[in-house]
Amino acid sequence: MLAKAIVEPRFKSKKRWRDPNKISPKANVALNFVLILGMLASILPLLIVISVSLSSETTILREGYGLFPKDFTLDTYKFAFSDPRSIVNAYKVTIYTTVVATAICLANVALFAYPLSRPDFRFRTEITFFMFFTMLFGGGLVAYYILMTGVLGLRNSLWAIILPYSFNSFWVIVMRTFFQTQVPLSLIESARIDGAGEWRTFLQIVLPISLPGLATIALFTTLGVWNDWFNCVLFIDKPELSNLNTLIYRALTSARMLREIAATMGSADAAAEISNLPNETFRMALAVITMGPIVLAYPFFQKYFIKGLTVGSIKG
Amino acid sequence: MFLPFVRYDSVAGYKGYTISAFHMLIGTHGLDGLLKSNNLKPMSFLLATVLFFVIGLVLVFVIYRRKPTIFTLAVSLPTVVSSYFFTSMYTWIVKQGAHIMIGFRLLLVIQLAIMVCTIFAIVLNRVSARTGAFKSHLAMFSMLAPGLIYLIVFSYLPMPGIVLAFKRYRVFGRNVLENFYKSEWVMFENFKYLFSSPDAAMITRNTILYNVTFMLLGLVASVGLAILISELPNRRMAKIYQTTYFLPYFLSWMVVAYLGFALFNYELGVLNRILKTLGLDPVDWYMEPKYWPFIYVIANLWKYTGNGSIVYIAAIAGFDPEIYEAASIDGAGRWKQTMYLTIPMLVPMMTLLTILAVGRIFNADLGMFLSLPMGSGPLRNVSNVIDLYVFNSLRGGSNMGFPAAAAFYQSLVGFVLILTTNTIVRRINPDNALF
Repeated sequence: MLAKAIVEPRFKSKKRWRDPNKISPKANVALNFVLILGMLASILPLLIVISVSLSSETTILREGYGLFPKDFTLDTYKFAFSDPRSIVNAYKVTIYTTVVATAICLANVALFAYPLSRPDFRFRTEITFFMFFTMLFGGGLVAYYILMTGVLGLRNSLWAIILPYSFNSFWVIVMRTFFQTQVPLSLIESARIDGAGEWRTFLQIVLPISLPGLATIALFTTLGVWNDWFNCVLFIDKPELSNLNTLIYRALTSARMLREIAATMGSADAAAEISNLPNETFRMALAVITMGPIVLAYPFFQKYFIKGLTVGSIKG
Repeated sequence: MFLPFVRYDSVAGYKGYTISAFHMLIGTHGLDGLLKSNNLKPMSFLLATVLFFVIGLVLVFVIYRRKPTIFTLAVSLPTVVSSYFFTSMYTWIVKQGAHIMIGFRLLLVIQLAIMVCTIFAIVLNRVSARTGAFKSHLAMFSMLAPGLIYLIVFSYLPMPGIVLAFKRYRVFGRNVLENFYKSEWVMFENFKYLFSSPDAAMITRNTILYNVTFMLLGLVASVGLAILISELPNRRMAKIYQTTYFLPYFLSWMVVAYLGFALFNYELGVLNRILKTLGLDPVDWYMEPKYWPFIYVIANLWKYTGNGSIVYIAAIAGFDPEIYEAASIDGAGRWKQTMYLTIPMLVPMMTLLTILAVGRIFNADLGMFLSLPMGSGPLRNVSNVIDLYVFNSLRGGSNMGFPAAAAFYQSLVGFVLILTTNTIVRRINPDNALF
């Protein structure tokens, strides 16, 4: 008995052998439990909003919001798209600005980052500083406002949404690091020996192997422009030029007005008044309509963007 | 030296300002030296900048191919001659009247292009003389050109606007430069308001306190989440967690306000329904300021933690596993490895991101404070931050003084804070510094 215990190596005891660099199974369960709680917290509000938007208005008013749709119906969405002037138009504006701004931003950032990534470019430090300085110091919001409205005359122009997003110093740094680490210099040199000019090297050799980096920037620029309300609210007054987020921002304030009116009118009448149009479910449907495409697009980009982000954000 | 910035006071009798060729170029002043009421042509200015670059590049390229050796002389001589020629022509052209103005502006553009491209070419030529990479540098600059123009127009052009903090900006006409010039200097009056009124003190306090809380808790949460996710043995689950935690980052604050409304609504909201089922009194969340600091902190963490942790997850994945193996041979458990290996190795990344966050300590997350309270009146005091105040003043459009002072405050103090933090960090450990 004793001899056997001495001879047996420890890991051949009853317990299964465990990698000492992995956490214990108990800790694993606890960890997963905590993370699942957090995960629920991340997505539950979203699910509630989606379920409300799919419920019928009268049931919602009777029973309140909940996690599961009550009396499943698509009426709210039918109602939302029945008035094409506001929502469909806002969609058009949002898609147009997003596509144009993302394209411009991608081109600008990639073109700017590439020379900065090349060690044989003499003005690398100077131009990096020229750009970096703008990240630390700026003229402030008033100067920006005056520039956009007074100097560039962009009031009530969609360029007021596009131009602010068409370049981004932070993404230039990410992209520069991406080029430095992912594109071997020998590749560029061999292209040069084969007689390719700088532009040709960039377009045909460097860009195709930098897709993860480009996808990251495309995703985040798309996200930024899609979710923009700041520039739209500041510079665009015409309702037909407002994008989705501005639309729901305005709906947010008018809902407040509705709330105040309901409070002053006495609740019974107001409740009857409101229930005629799908107010509660419509509000949530608006939120779903606004975030829908961007959340749906996320899995398609995901393959690329974590790689792009992680490679690019290493300090260099 | 030969810049055509000449005074036109004598010609036009327009006292007080130096009207230069530059003003005429961008269209703020006519050739008679007088301000024009409705004449600022933004696109012409942009076009001029673009043209300027294109012509410059073409010229350098053409001249280079002809005579690479006496290149410097070849470009600089015509520039100097043309500059003097054009400058002497101003008076004559002004006397001729306004009908040749367009041609005149074109000449100016060409001249400026020649000058800039001369400087550019001389520098470039001298630099690349050693390496022989002139052509390659030219291509590189053509790649940089759009970004450089963007930076000049959108970042450097508004920078002088920072002095608006010391002026009372008033709109005299549609001409921005004129408004800028004519606005009187009030020196520290805007700041007096910023520091004296109780409202403003509260705004500043709110901004700083919220930002410091967000910064510290955000750092802890991001690093914590990154460590937790990295510890998971199951990589597939780790990926799922990472994806879901990242999701809130994709929603704009406007959408998040609606999510919040689903939770906090008095009659229908989920939180009050839970309270009711527990037998507690429902809370009118939008009327109770005392809950909102916590709500803001939670909302901020909810939205940004997933995004913040990605960088740390990547960093942890990049750490050398041999270090951990060595530690486990020495008897350190997973907990000790985290405390004494993972966290110290993450410190450089943490410092870097914190330095950047410190620089933005006066810049509040406008979207959150604007949209989350759904415009509720009682929550005004608890959610009023600098950016919100500036935003509202700008939309009101009347008082530019406070926004300008606040902008000065935000830009300059932020800049100084970044420099200070960076210096301190560099003193302690040069490797962790941002620059």
